[in-house]
Amino acid sequence: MPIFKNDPTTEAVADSNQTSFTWEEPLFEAAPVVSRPQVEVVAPQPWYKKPVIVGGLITLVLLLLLLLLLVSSRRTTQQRPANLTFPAATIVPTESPMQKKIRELRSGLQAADPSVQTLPFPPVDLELQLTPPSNR
Amino acid sequence: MKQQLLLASKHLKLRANGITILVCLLVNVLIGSSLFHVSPLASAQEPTLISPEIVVQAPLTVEINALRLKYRQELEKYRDIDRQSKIANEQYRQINTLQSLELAVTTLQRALLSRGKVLELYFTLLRFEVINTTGIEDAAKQQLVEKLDRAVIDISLNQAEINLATDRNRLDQVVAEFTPLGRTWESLAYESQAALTLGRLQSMFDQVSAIKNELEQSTATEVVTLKQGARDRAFAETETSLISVNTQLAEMLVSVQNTEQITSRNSLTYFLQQADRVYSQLAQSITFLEELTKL
Repeated sequence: MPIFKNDPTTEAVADSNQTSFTWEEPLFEAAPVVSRPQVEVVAPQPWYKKPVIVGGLITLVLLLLLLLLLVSSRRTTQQRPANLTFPAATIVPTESPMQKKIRELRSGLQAADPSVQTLPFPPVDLELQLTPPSNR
Repeated sequence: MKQQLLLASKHLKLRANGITILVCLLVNVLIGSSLFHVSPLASAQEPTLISPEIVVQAPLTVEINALRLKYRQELEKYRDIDRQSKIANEQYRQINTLQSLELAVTTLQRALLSRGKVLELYFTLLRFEVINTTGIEDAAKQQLVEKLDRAVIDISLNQAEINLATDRNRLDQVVAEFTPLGRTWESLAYESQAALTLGRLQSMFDQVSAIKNELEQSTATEVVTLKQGARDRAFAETETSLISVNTQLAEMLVSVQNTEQITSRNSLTYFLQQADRVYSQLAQSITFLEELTKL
């Protein structure tokens, strides 16, 4: 029973927790609103907007092109001997036998150039010997 | 969080761009190398301007090429051994111990043998070259070949003596015997080089003269044309040039036959200067012949 009619503490007597007062209770306070982080819903990008995939595709195409180039160049080098004709053979008919002889003579003269000595004396030490010890 | 996500996406984009650039660079390099790469097959089969009939192999060309290769290899070996011998010799000279003496003697013996091998190959090569050169007179060629043969035999004998020399005194004796021989061989090498140079020029002179005569004969049978005067004057000029070459070649022949004249590097240099003048005049004569064919 309350001791006093209008005593605000009269009801708190019945309360087991007597270390706090009723007016201390946050009766009218609104509960704290915890705002949740807004997670952006990222829409899945289409494949052509992904740089890795695009880069990979470009690389693949370039590699294929490279392969084609290599194959085609090999084919041309292999085919070349069959179609090979010496340009000298096409030039020769225009020159007379005498002119041809003179041309050969000129190329032969290059081998006789005295400024090019093909066999100089070898750079060997002709006075190779055991030197006696120095007098100390 | 949003900022973090934005940063992450930017980083991802940069990385992707970096990878793309790297890949593109790699592909460019690959394409570049494939486009400008000349395969050995292709380069080997490129048509050359020298027609096959010009390259006429002389009789001993194969042997000379093989010998030349072996000579170069032996010369390389000699350089290495000679260096080792000089180091060992210097060590012995400085420290004068039995061990250093032993090392010096051993390496000297190896260097002497290697030098002998180089000289032997060199004179064999010279012998083949002399035989192969057509412009040397037969008697002079025979004489020179005999001298070169003698040199090869002497070198072989010297090699045998070096092999037998087991102690320092005997090795000193072999070295002393070699010194005068070495100078003779050096002179012989200069003489052979002079003979080879003269032979090659003489051979060229003979060919030029033969072609000039042939050209003269072929034009003599032709109908007299308006250009006949110019042609005669051109032939006369070519003839004068060839007479001058012949005179100089005769002077050079005297120098070669007189073995006292070409015995050193200096005398060979003088001889080669003379040969160079003859060479220039021969080239001029060939140009005259070319012009004559067009008249």
